Amino acid sequence: MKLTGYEMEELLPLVAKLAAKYTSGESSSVPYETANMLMESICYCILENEREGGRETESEAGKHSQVPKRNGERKAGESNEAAENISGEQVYKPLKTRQMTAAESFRQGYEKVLKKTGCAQKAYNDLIVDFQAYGNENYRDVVLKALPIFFMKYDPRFAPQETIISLDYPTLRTVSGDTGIDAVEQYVEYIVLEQRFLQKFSEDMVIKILTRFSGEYRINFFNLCSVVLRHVLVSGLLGRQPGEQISEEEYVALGQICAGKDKNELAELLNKLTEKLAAGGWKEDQKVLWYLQGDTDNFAAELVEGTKRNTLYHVVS
Amino acid sequence: MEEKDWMELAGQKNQLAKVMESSRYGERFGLSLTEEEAGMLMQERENCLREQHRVEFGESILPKLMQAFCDSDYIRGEDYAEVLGRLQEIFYLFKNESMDLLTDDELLTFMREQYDETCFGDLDYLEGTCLPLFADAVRAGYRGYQQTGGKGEFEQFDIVQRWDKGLYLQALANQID
Repeated sequence: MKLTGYEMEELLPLVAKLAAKYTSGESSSVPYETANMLMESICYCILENEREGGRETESEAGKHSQVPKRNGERKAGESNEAAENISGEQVYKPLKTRQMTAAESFRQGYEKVLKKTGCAQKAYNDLIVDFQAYGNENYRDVVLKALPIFFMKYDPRFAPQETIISLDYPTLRTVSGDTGIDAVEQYVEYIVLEQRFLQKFSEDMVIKILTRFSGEYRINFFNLCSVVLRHVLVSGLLGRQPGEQISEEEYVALGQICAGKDKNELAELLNKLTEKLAAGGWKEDQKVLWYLQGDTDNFAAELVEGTKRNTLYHVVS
Repeated sequence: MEEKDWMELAGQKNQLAKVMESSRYGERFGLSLTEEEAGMLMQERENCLREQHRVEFGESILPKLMQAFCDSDYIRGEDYAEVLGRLQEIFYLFKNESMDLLTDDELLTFMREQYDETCFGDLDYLEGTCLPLFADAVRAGYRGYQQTGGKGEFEQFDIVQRWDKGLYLQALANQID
């Protein structure tokens, strides 16, 4: 259970109220598991509120501006608390002159959980309109079968912390240690970004690249986006059009490009290529760029190893 | 704070005053509790909750237990506290055994009815026979108690042939003959 900054004496009455709602007032006691679940629910909502920059109510606060910080700029008296969203932007966390009560923080957090659930559901509904699994069963099952189960069974009031499903399809960026709607919201966003990248290429081409990578790609558990991205980046390095099989001569040329470069140099090169790619294909969509660059370090490391061992044909198809 | 600690903290509210106030229900039936007995029942409550891994956030079940059982013919003044202690223990046990599918009122109604009509005040029989049979049915999916509120439920699960009016009249007739 993640801890909040509140004392147990402040949290217990909230758990008691929630327990009364959970049992509809028809049971004076609940099992330990239920009590624990409800306490976790309270903590989840409070932490949700604090993460999202929960504000004091108007009656408690003075005036707080919500201007995002830039380059370390701070207003007088402002605390040096900054959070980063997934695109690395600094998000302003308002200064709390007086701590909000646990009850108020919980209430606001719960509203945020509800809102987040609604947004994630909408994002998911938009995603599946033209979602492409390219024949990969795991990708299809997680997105088209497992995620609907989440939205059907998710209980934002009594168990917002439960993720319910296992997010088996691996994304390029790992979903952080979050659970519940935080995890699923992130996951859905990552799938959306992947699809934005993949659908820039023809279905035929994507399937060809995947099949060359692994004849059994339809039943394997790997990230499809990374396979296609690596092929596209290597095509960029080699100055060729993506799509066709990389020839033996091209693997040799790739080895020569990578030789003498360490992982960081290669990663920098790949990052620049990815920026160019994003600029061309996604009109500088920072989120797609950020997502794709999640593979850069690993790819660079594998290229270094592959060059040493002369096994680049295993690294990229 | 450890998981168990905060749950025990939750159950430690001082409810002595409420229990003493509720013990007045039994006074017209010659049943009452001393403060010492009420204190012991509170301590036993904490022990039971700990043993059964349950948490009581609000009011203890004791006042409702006292209300439900105060007019039973099978409770005497001298063992009132002891009976309440056992009933409390049985109550928490069977909240677990019924997987929390029974509301407090449904379970109390069943317990009171069976205590009088089937068990004739025998708490061991209540705990060892009536309630396990009923809890078993509830776990298996039986939900008829939701309509009856726990009343008149035991007959359909009873495994013992009890007093049968037809049989009785037959035996009587035979005797007369």
